[in-house]
Amino acid sequence: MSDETDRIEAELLGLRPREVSQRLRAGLAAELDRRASRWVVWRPILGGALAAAAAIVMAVGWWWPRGNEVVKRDTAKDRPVVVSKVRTGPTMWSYARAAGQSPESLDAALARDAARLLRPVRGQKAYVGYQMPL
Amino acid sequence: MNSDRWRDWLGEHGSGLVLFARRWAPRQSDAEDIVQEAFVRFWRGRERVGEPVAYLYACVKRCAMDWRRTTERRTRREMGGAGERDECLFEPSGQDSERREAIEAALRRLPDEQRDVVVLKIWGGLTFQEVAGILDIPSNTAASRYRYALEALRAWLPEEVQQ
Repeated sequence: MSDETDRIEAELLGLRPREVSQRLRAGLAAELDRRASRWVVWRPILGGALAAAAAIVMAVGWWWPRGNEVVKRDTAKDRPVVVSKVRTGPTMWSYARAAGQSPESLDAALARDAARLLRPVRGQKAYVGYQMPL
Repeated sequence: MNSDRWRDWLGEHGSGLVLFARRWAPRQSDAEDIVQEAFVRFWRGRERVGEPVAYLYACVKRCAMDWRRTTERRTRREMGGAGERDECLFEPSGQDSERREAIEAALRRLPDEQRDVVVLKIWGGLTFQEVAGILDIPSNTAASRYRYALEALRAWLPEEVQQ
């Protein structure tokens, strides 16, 4: 830039914009304080609610019976293979115990059922629903 | 302490922010209202952004545009375009009042997009890249607008003011 534009720039830099008023300072102080105090009240309530919700979700996820598995037929060996592990939860184990079975036998029965049900299906993915032993 | 920190921020940037807001709100008091709202918004999100000063100016721009939308009709009716030029942009200083007035008048003559760049660069202390981010333009465009603005000011300002 030329010397003249540099001089203009210096002129501009020499000017001071009007200071903010006391009204703005006071208004801002009141508004920020109001928001801060509101946050102080709501933070523990929100935190507690979130923690409780997370605990409920985790508990439901753990106790909910999960009896489905994905089974695919292995075309090379001409037999169904279990793609995802059999996932039985504590609720299902308690059903199994009530029926006089061990959790391990429940898993084995599930895998057997899957193999039987899938025998006619060749090279396809299938979703096998699990039925309660009771 | 938190309260001291916002006071520091306001002390350092407040006058530049109000000057920037006055592009949309010609009255100083309206511009201060805009800055207040923008500052509250900025204070909430300041820790999540990389360039807080640029973010602060961007908040002012957004709030100013919102303000303009909601009050434009009313302002036009009430003020009729008069009176908005009465309030000075800069601190009055006794011996330099003529110079200040001439520069203010020249600044007001600038197209809005050039005036924005000058205000953000000179009184906001921002880089062209930051200015470009706030105004949603390429940084080369910001630099060229700045250059055009200075050339226009040089042409408009009386010779004695430049000395």
